[in-house]
Amino acid sequence: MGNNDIHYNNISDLASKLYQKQISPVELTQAYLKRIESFDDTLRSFITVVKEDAISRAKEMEKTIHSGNYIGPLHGIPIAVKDIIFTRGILTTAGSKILSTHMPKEDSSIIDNLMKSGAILIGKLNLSEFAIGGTTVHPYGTPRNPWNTDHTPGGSSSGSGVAVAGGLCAGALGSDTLGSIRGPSSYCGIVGLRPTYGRVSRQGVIPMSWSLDTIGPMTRTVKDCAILLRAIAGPDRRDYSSKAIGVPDYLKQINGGIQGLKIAIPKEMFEFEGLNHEIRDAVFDAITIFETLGASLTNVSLPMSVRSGAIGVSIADVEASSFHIDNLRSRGYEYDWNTRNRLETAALMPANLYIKAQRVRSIIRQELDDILTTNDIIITPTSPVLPPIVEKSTGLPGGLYQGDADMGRRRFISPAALAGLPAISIPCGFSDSGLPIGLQLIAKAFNEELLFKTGYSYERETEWHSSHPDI
Amino acid sequence: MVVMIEMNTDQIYQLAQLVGIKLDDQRAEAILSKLKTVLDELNLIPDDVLNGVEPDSTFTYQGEEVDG
Repeated sequence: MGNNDIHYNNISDLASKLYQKQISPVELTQAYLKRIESFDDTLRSFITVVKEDAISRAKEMEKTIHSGNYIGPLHGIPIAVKDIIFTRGILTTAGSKILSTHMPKEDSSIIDNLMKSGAILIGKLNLSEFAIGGTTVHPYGTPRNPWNTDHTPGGSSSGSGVAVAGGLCAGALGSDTLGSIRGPSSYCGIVGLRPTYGRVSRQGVIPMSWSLDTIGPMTRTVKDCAILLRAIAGPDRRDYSSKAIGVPDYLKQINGGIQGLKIAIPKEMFEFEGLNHEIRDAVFDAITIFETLGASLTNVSLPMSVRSGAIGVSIADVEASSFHIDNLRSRGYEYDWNTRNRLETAALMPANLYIKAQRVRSIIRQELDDILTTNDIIITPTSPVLPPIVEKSTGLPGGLYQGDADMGRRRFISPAALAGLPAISIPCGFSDSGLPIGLQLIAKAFNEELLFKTGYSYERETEWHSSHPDI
Repeated sequence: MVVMIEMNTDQIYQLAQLVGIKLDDQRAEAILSKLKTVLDELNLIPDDVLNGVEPDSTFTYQGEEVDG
């Protein structure tokens, strides 16, 4: 598949072509629909494709562009969203049999925002059941990594990662409770941002964990990620956790460079014995590029991050089990085996240990805040391992918990989530076997702008974002 | 002092009954395995490091104005 094909164009390039009427929203939407029809039987990234609605919306957007009422860079752009986001009159399953006929009566706030930006909703994306992760049997098909379909795309925003990497939509929304955007972004070779907690409304999104859930963009480039975040971010009276903090024009400063940027390198991540050596090398190569671009480097320590996997799981799963308790009692057999196991385990967690986890969370947050007082960015690999093959990524129904492997992986993505900080995963290489590798950048709360500027500076020096899977 | 918690499937069944969840042996074993792993991890964190630390579940960010 050639890299100049329209389906792999960046949103920013597509926006320019749409504005100049070199292509039409209808042509673009049809191109993605054709891709979905051709490849999604194998990739299983979509649960629902809204073909007729998308074409109808594309015609409407075409009219408004042609009448001179161009809204902005998402006007006429086909976007897909994770199937936990409420869409009026469109099936919203959360990847579960339990919600196999669930039709929301209202759009979520972020869908409202997307529509205001002129985007075209093309479909609803597959995920780990209820965004909980580790699903063994996906009721709507097992999502496959487009770089190698024997391998997992990661979870829980699996379909979002697959559809963006495979050129089945221009960009997607996912959700990140403890890494569910960053993990699949790293495994699929795309850019994914977990925004600051409170930056993007959670209204109309099926919760996993009230105190950790965030919604964010997954795209093929950093600039596209900035465009999509600007469209969905902002205060929302319908979400109590939403913060009344203005949303900057992220593209304004994105070319500014990183001269003088202070980057912190936490030893606990890079000295972790389970860190794949190809990943370590790729991230160190990236660090060298940052240094060449004018950044200074400092070695730091995040001692409590070593326990962040267990802390994150303790908090997220306990909150999730509280949300699901009625269904666990009456319809437990309808859950995936592993989802049920996680939820039932959490339902039995002693309350004092949940509170202990929240207190340790305070320490983890303080450790990150302290480092970000004297540094601008923390860099880590996004994942210590390459995408596992599908069967090994989920285990088998009835299997025992692979505790060490799970906790090891989680220590990389949990700290930012527990601290409510923004974090972005950016492609930084490939393994010898051709699987993508991602690096993670973490910044101070509400400083997504710096993540974009730093990520874009790196992207300009490298070609990883221009590589696409041959599907 | 780090205290490792001893657990068995009988206790899992008792807890599940209190919560209103019905289990079979396979699921009770799986829950025991996972709960042990998580609890052991949590118990590796000595309680004295938590002196004076309050639980953190809602965020006030640096520079953010707070009422009250």
